[in-house]
Amino acid sequence: MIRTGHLNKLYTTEEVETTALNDVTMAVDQGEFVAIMGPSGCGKSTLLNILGLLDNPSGGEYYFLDQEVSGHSERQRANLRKANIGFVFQSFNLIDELTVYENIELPLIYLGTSKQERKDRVDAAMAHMQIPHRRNHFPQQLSGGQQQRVAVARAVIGNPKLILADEPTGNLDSANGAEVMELLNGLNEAGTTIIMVTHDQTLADHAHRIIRLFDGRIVQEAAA
Amino acid sequence: MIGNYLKTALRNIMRSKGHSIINIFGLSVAMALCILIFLLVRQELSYDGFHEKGANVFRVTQTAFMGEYRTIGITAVPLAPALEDAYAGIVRSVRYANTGPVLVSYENVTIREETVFYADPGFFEILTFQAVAGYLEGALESRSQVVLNEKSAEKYFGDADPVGKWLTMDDRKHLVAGVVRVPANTIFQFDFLISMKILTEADGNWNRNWSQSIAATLVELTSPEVAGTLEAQFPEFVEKHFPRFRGIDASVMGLQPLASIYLDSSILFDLFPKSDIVVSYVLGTLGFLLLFTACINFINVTLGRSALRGKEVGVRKTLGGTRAQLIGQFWGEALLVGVAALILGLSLAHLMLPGFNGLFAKDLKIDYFDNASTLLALIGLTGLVVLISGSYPALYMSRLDPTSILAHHVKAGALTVLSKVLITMQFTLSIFLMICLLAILRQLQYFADQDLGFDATNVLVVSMPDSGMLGPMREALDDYPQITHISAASSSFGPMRGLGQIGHTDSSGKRFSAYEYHVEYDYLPTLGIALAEGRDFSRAHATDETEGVIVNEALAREMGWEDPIGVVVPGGEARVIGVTKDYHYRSLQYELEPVVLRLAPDRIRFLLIRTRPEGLPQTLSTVKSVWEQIAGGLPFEYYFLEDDIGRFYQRERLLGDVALYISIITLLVALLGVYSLSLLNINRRTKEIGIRNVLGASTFDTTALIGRQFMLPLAIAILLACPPAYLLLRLWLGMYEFNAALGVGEFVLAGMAALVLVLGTVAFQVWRKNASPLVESLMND
Repeated sequence: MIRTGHLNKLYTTEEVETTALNDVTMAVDQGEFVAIMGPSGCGKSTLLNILGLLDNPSGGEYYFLDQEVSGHSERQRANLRKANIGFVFQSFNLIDELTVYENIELPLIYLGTSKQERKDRVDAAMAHMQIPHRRNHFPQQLSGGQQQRVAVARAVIGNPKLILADEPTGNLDSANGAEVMELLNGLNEAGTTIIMVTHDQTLADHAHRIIRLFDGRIVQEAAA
Repeated sequence: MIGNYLKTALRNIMRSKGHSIINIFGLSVAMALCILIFLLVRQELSYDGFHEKGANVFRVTQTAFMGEYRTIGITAVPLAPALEDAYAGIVRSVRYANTGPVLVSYENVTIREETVFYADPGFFEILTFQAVAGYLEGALESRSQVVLNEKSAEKYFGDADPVGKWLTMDDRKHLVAGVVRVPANTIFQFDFLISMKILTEADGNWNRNWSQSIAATLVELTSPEVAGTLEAQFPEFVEKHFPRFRGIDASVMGLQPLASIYLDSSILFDLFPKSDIVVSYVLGTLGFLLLFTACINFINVTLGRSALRGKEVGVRKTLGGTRAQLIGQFWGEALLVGVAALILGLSLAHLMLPGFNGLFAKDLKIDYFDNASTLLALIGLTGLVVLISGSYPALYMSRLDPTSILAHHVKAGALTVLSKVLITMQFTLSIFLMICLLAILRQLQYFADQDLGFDATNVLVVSMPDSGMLGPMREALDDYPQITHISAASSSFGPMRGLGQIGHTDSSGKRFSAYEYHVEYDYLPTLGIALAEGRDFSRAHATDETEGVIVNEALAREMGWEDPIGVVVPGGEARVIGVTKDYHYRSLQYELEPVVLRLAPDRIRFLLIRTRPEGLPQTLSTVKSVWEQIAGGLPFEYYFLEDDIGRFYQRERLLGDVALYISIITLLVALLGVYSLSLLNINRRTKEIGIRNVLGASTFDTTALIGRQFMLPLAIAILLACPPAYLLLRLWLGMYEFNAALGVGEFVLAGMAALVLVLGTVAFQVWRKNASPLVESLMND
């Protein structure tokens, strides 16, 4: 599903050139659950952004669903992204001005889904995440755990092939964190590929495989 | 998708109420003013555009020497038929004239009417007016018919049908043939229209008199293109018909398109109301600049809040939102704000309309459905606001990189370079207007402080249609102790009102021209005009009435008379018996021009009474009661000369008022922007301010810290505003023969005022912030 070859990412300012990713070659198969670990600043989030088509690499190859996408324009990346990838962030990144229902509905709007189908799918997702009673609430009226459930619901609503989770339990207590991991495991068992960035070895143990980064390089790749 | 955008936009507006209110209020004030300016400019530019044959209708002008060559708008009575006979390109000619007030009576009511016009029967054939009662076609064929406008019909007949009823006009009976609707946007603002035949058939001399210009001559041409050909043939016509009347050459005749008459303020001796196209352009420009200033607030606040909105942009992009969709969304938000501002702006415009109408002496209406251009203008105005205020934020916000935004790399409240440029533009406009306002006020004060060379205080001016009343009035009031002098004149002071012009070219080609006032004995002491040499008119000198004139110093100077007493005035037999010191009988805009005062008791129209200042109401009451005994029902119409002189500067006062209001609104909008941006900056730096406060910073220190960001734009704005203001004001003051020299005071004061107001606005925000518990600031992250 995903294949990279010698990926590089450089950040250049007037004075400094920083290498965020250095010669990263990796592959992720359909249905896999991969954890990416490493210390702060090792390039985990940069790699996730490139894999999630939020950013382009500075060099190297990136094949997503057998398409070379490293040189894609923002519009091409947006089209691939909305059809195939769901995101779960540490800080939830829900839109404060939209209700729970509207936040979950948003990817379907961008996909051009009809209103009735949107309603059916959002209702089903909310029921699955056990938050239908929160449908008209705004994010700031929810607990952290509830917000992350909404974020997961939003990530899966478009039936993506891939879910990218960046420290999905980082802002949650252990109980809520465990619930979110259960949700991700369930999604993976249902066939969704998951790539998760985490600091927490316990969470990484949920994955099939762990990739460790250090200073922008892959230093270890092993089964969990 | 659009529903989603609108919901987000609406909730965003509600969530940041303070900024939204500032944005919407600022825009609505600007839009309200733009709407009013649009109504005014539309009316100004639409004068007489509604006549079906309007494109073919021209007014005949003539150029004459009056100290300098000036184009005048009135012509001799025989001109119209002569032109019609002479040129095949002229389909029809119409004369339109006003010869002064007429006493109009119906039943027991007698009113002195100023706007009674004479017109040829073709008037309603070349011009398109709508009859609301009776008929117009042929109404001016008869000498005993009259056409009224709606206002006069209601004034005399109330709700009754006036058609077929008789009005008495200066002892002649006139049957009301029709009532006509006179739109506000026509130069033909008559209350009563009667046949030109009354003038031409009653006194056949008018038909032969090529020397006296009293009527506007309108011609309908076969096509507008004919005008140029005719103008080329006019010199021959002039040579044939026009005598060199008292030295004034009617040397050039021209044709002026009907639609341009109203906007040409250069024409002298015009029967028509005039406007100055420059005023429309200036107002239009100011309206646009004010709107732009308000849009700047929207742009700056949106940019200032970009980090707060950035998360939403990042999430939308991550979820597949394209840049085009985000641009659409931000434009949608601008549209929502624009529509809200339009609704509020329209309400404000309705509230401001009566004052605006009063200021410009108009009767404008916000006619949503009567005139399609109103709705189009409102849509256009909103579109302009959305385009200006929404474009850059939409492009900027949609360009934000989601990975940076979601990683919190974009800071809220920091001023971007563009924001600084826009603030500088706001400040520049505000300071420019303040400088202009201060200079206008100074010039008005200068007018008030000037010694005019006569004493306008305590002079009562009574309009006197019958010169024969002077004797009895004088006799009755002579012994009244509160009245010191009584005299009379053909015209009061004022902008060319009833002023005659005399002129002569001697054999050597030297030209002489002067304004002529017909006066009565005691004119000089009544008005407090001082003699430089010679003597006043005196009943002891019988020849004063026939061959004595008094001139002013300007005339003696111009003619180079070292000893003017006894000199014969060129072109006549009158000898100079006295020379007055120069006095400003016209606005200080004009240079002192030669004046000739001549005794002519039969030509006087105004009674002049100098009173003592004390007991004025009683004096007025006495004069009125004497008038009522003598005047035989003529209305008692009076004013004070001081008020009349004040009307010299109506235009300057209007300019001052306009500058005042627009300056205040522009400054208010700019300060709202400062308020909003300083609030954003303070919120961004809440923790920093808290720490500074813990360490001992005062409100002043924090004001300096936050206000610093505005100092460079302010300094640049002062530098940018001063040169154009200086050049414009120098140009404007140059139009006045007598003016207050431009000093540095206005520039310094405007700069200082801007500085104080900006820092005051910031200080208010800082004070509000400091009023909240310090611990809240320190906990802010």
